[in-house]
Amino acid sequence: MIQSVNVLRVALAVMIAAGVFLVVNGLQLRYYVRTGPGPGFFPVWIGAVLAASGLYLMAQGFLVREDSESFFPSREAAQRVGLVVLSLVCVWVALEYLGFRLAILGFALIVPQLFGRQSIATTVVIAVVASFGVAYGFERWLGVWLPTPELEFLQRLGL
Amino acid sequence: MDVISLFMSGLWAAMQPDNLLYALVGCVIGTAVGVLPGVGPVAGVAILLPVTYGMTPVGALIMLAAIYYGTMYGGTITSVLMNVPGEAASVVTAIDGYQMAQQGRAGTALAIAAIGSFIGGTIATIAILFIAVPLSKLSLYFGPPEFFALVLVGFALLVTLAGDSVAKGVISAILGLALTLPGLDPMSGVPRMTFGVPQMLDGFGFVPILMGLFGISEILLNVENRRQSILTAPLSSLVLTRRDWREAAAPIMRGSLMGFLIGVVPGLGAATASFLAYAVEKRLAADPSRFGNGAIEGVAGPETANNASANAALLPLLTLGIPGSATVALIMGAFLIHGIKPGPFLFTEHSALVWTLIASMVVGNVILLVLNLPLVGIWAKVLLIPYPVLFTFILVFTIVGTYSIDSSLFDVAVMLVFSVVGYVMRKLGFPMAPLALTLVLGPQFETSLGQSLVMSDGDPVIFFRSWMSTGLIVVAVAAVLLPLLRPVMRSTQRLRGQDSEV
Repeated sequence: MIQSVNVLRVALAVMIAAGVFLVVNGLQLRYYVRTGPGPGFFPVWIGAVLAASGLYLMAQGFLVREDSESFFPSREAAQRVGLVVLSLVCVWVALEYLGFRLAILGFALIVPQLFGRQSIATTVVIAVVASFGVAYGFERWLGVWLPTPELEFLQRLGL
Repeated sequence: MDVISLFMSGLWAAMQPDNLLYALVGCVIGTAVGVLPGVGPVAGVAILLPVTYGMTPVGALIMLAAIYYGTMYGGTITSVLMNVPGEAASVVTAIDGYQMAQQGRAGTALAIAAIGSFIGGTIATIAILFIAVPLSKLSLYFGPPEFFALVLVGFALLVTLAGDSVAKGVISAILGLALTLPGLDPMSGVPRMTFGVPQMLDGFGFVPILMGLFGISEILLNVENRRQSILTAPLSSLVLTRRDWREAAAPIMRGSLMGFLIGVVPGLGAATASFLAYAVEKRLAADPSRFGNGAIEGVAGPETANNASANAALLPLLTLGIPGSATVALIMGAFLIHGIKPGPFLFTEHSALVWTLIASMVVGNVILLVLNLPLVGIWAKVLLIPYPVLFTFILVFTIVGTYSIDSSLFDVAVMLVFSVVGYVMRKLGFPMAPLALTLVLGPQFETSLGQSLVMSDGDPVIFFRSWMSTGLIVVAVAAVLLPLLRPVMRSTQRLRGQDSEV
């Protein structure tokens, strides 16, 4: 299992890299103009402090040697979190091509079944409410228009 | 116009059907959010923030504020019935509240918590009435240097939000500032870190970031445990005896005062108020051993304090533009979304809105008392909804809410990325409140610094030309240094004590 300290080291390495990137990017913009800070002023300082703080914590982490706990409480927990993230990414992709109703219908049919013990009938009802019901409520009552499908035949179906 | 007549005109506006409806909806949602373990006030406000876009500014703010202080009521229900706090400020209520439930007095605990919360919230709101205007009159002295110094005070208070690790708090805060960099430079209009992506010209929207960091990351943390649903203890009668009233009266009064004083200080939070109130009641009790075994004072004091604190926390936001917690930072975001800048000029430029909001807090507390006393049994049933069904709907609402900002799937992508970032940060112990604070205050910080230096032709002495900005900078420095010096002072005192013994 992944250790928390290793995840922390990777996260800090990313932060240090981001800090260095901000400094480099900031220096390519104008650092200071006659009347005050230029567009590069804040990126340089924020990047410098971010990189320095990351280095400080990284050094602390390497100096203190102790047993690190696992980042995830169990393999199953890691799988559950991964599944939620993956399903959200799939929804994001599906929103563009299939539109809100179908993307969320698929999401709400699969996710409660993966994580819960509902009957198929209950899951279908939940999925219909979460997709078509929510779309109706937001579009008709709140005036919030949701993604429509890019695929023509789905558009013709009024989805 | 004097304060009372301004408040009465605000009350008249707050009692209009549409504003009453917003207050009711906010109270219902806030109570539901408080009841649900795993969805705190931050996540609740973050998820519903985009839904308020289509509303009038006053309606949106009434609803979001009602959600915020409503969660304080709702969190008590799970604390008492299940020993599971619905949110952080209800943790200490579980100590004696759950014991009261075990003794068959769950109804008494919930009733005194609701009544205490009502009294605390109302007293805090009335105090805001009389303090807000004098505080906001300082706005006459505010220019860019004073705004810059004020934001510095806000940043300095990050130390109190940082928790155990100041270094992690600093990183969290700096990350929040870094996220405000992409987009157009506020002084020159030059594109900065847009990577050629047209959507980045507006920078990262803080709403998708906050929804990901707080809303979805909360769900990811909860999903680690295979929670299905939660069973609750049975409810008893809500009627209070004369003895209950006698024992709870003084803790409620003390809780109101403590809660208000803690709430107006940015960075301390409602949880601090409830813990302090509990400690004070235990210290003052004739028989402290009753605490932890169902002492009614252990419920009355903390619950009053946390609600007083939640109401009072809006005072620094309204008068100075400083959000004292992540949730209030989100409410500040709601102000900004509607083109309203909270702070010293709010009472002069948007007088009707702010007085309606303050009056709605009184109305909201009445609504919450009604919702939480007779309807507490219904709230307990919400806990029977299977968690997988619950978080499915929450995720759907977050996607809809984020998309609705600019009808942009890019925003949804930003939210998803920051949901993973938030999850990792929280697992690694990085506090999120500093990030929320700097994310919301960052643009103001950069703009006021730039404007100040333009005014003074690049001379930084401008920040020390007025007593207001000088004073605020001194406060900011003290806020940073004092917590760092306290351990040194304690060691010095200990050494002196040892020397005198020798």
